[in-house]
Amino acid sequence: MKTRQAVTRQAERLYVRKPVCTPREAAARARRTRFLQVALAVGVPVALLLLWQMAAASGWIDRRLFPAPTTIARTAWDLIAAGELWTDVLATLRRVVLGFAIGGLVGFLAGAVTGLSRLARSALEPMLSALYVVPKLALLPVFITIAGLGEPPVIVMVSWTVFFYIWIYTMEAFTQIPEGYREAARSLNVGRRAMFRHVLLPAALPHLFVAMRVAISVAILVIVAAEFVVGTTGLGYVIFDSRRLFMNDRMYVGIVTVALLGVILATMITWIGRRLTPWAEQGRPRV
Amino acid sequence: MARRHRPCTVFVASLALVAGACGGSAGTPVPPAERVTAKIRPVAGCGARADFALAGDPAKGPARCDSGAPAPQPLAKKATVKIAMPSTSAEYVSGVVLAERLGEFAKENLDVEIVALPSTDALPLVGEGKLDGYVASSFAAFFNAVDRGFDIRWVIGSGWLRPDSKQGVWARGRHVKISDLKGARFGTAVGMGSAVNVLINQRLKEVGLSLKDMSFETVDVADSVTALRNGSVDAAMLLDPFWVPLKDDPNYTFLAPSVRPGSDSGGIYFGPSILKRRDVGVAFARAYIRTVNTYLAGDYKSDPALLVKQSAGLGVPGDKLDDTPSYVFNWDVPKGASDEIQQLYLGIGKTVTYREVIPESKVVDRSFVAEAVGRERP
Repeated sequence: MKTRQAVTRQAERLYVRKPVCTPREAAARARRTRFLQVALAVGVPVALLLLWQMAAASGWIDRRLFPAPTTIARTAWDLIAAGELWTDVLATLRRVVLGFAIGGLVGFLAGAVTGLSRLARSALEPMLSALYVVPKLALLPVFITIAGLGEPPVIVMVSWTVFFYIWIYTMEAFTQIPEGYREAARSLNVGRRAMFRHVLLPAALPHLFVAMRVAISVAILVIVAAEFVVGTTGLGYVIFDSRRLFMNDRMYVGIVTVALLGVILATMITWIGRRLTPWAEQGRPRV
Repeated sequence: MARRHRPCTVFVASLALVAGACGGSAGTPVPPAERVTAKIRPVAGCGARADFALAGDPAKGPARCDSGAPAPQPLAKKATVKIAMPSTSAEYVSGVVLAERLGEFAKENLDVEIVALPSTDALPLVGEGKLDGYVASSFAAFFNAVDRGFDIRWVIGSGWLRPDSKQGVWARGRHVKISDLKGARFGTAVGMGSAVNVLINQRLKEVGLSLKDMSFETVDVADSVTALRNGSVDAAMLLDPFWVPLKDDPNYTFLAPSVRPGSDSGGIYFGPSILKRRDVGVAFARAYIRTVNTYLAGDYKSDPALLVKQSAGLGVPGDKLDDTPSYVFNWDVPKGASDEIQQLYLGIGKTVTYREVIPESKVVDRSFVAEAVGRERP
């Protein structure tokens, strides 16, 4: 009897473990981690700005070529107050949104068709892959010749760029859907349209949002480059024209605005993606 | 432990990287060169014909020395000069290109390196002393740089166009008048802030208009004719040799040249690194002036022997060079040229960062030319 009790006690000693931390401690640790992440996300850019300001103020860098952040902020304020910056932001935004919508829609359709049909993939993939590697900016003169100057060639350029990103990601998303999803749906006698709407599209949608996030960033890159070459409005033109006129503070206002625009648009897409695809929260593909 | 410190390590490393990027001599402004009075001594071959009075006179000028003059005066020690230009094939830069390829700089014991670089990229490098100078037009950025304290000076002029040259503003349509440009889409690679707009702005003023009455479209030089032909723009600034295909086409009208005879829109600019090495700057000016007097004087393209030399020097076939008329090279910066250009920019607005004309004494330095030809310059 004694021996049995001793064994039981020993087993209790073996299996009863003291928790590593209490739930309260775990919550506190999570808060600390979150705080550190936010502090770093905010602190690093702020520290870099301070360093930049200090470098400009103390003459480590030539302020005429690299104006201090406060000078850039003052110039930005003046441009906003004069209503000049908004015109260019809206011009760029309009081109990006239009180009993104057109390129995204066509890219999604092409991606869905090539992802779901082997025949379509055989017919289109080699040609589209070949076109994909052509530098997008190299085609700008072609678009200008076809569409003339003004908005059309720039919007076509953005659409063309976005199309390829959305097409490739969408095609991959559809081809990688596990067969088990289809089998489960078939066992419930689901029709083709319902299969697409309730099984295939939801499975591909998280990848599509990743594609959109990548594509919007590339669209910003392309629009800035295109506005360097064509037109007299937009943030790309502001950067190019300011550089041409040696107005470096205005040039940096353009660069910072482009960066902010890119972050805002990418964040918006991520936010919309999270709202529309809550089932993909775990194991969400990351950019 | 190491894991806990990782974010801090990344942060510190980022700061170190930025600090490293900011360090060094890159940001140190180059102090302005001390101005030296030119030592004017008579130069053989540069007589009364080299007088400054002829500099802005399209009827009798520009100033010239004899062919081969001024004679080389090699520097005691070989000096290197790095000079930028947007293209090595444009007519107005051919004086520098020929001087280098035909050995005129070498005769002065100068090793000149020509760097093909857009003016906007060259300007800050010249201001920082990383390049010695550049060849371009007096675009607004140059005046903005001078206004911000960069020690850059317009030291040698480029010249103007002969009457048979049609480099300038072309419009789509027959018998188009300047007044028809109101509301027109104007294609240009250089935007409003370029000195080539001075003359067209004057012509527009004569009919009560200005550059602001047109909408500017950025079009690459090479695409300007295409843009004009497909109707993307109503008028365009066509530089050499892009106007040649339109010269016999009645559907296009030539409205105004890019430069008024006797005036100037650009030339050679020296930065602080060469302004400080005065003997090098004078040797450069001497070699350039000798090249103009020897190979680029008068109607040099009608002289087959000169054309052969130019063709060999530039590496361009003679028949291509012959497409466009001879340029009138003027190594002087005409009096009032910098004021005239600045007044254009101030009138347009939004192209310069200041409100009053910068005096010629802070923009132009004719002392290098004066010393090279041995005659006073203002």
